[in-house]
Amino acid sequence: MEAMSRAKLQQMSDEDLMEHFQSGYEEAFNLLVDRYQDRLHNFLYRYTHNHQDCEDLVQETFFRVFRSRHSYERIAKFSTWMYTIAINLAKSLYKKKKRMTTVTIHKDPDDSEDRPMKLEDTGILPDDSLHEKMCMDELEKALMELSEDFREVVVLRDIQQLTYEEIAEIADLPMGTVKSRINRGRAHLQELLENHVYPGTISA
Amino acid sequence: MDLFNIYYPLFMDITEFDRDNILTEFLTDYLDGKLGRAEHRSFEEYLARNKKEREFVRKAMMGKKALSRMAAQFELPVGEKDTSSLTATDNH
Repeated sequence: MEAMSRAKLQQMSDEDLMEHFQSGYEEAFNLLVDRYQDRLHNFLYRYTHNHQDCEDLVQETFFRVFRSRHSYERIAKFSTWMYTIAINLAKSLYKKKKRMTTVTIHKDPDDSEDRPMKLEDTGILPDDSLHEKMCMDELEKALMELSEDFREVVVLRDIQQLTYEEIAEIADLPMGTVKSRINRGRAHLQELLENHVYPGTISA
Repeated sequence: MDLFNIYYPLFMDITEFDRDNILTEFLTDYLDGKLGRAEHRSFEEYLARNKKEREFVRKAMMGKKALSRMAAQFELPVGEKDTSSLTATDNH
């Protein structure tokens, strides 16, 4: 690939930088780090309220961006993809800390056996699982048909279960727009399911 | 107004929710189950009088439920959760 100046790279969108990074331009990755490390730190601080945890999470997020660069697709904004990685890492850390605390408090000192937790029997039969999988495939297909603007916010809200404030920050949109897009995205998704996936089976 | 700058699917009707921020707030709280009893009743009375808006709310509610089912599918035990976004397939 032809050598490209840093100045030229700096003018590129995040998504273009990611594309260059995927093509082997590591300088593009460095620019993404420069663009986002402070913003990411501030954002993560709202989750952790701990600067050391934030440092670790920012580092881990960029490590995952680096490692998973080829799994990024332009159907998502780079920032949303990256923030989603960061949020998941933050949530995992929070759960891990919570679990460690729970074990410390509730462990029975008389129970010397290290018994694994019993998995819940969901009682789902193979046919049910298959049907469920088919439904999920259709749902995923419909979700991918939503425009990026709508998909981004409904995924963050209903799949990632982020707050409206977090979504407004990630998507860089006013709160009113976020709420409106989420509602419209959900309605549009349902419309797609009714019109294309289950035509004629659901009446208004 | 900001709400009008949104891209709308061409085949979807424009409703009062697209024109009125307060109504959007009501709808959001309604779907999140955060309306008080009186507000809830008042909102349902409004929907009863407005067919287009009622249909929009029905779809939004059904869409939300569908997405919740999808979210439940992604619930993996701690430590096994994929940290890539939905739109990315992490092949590492």
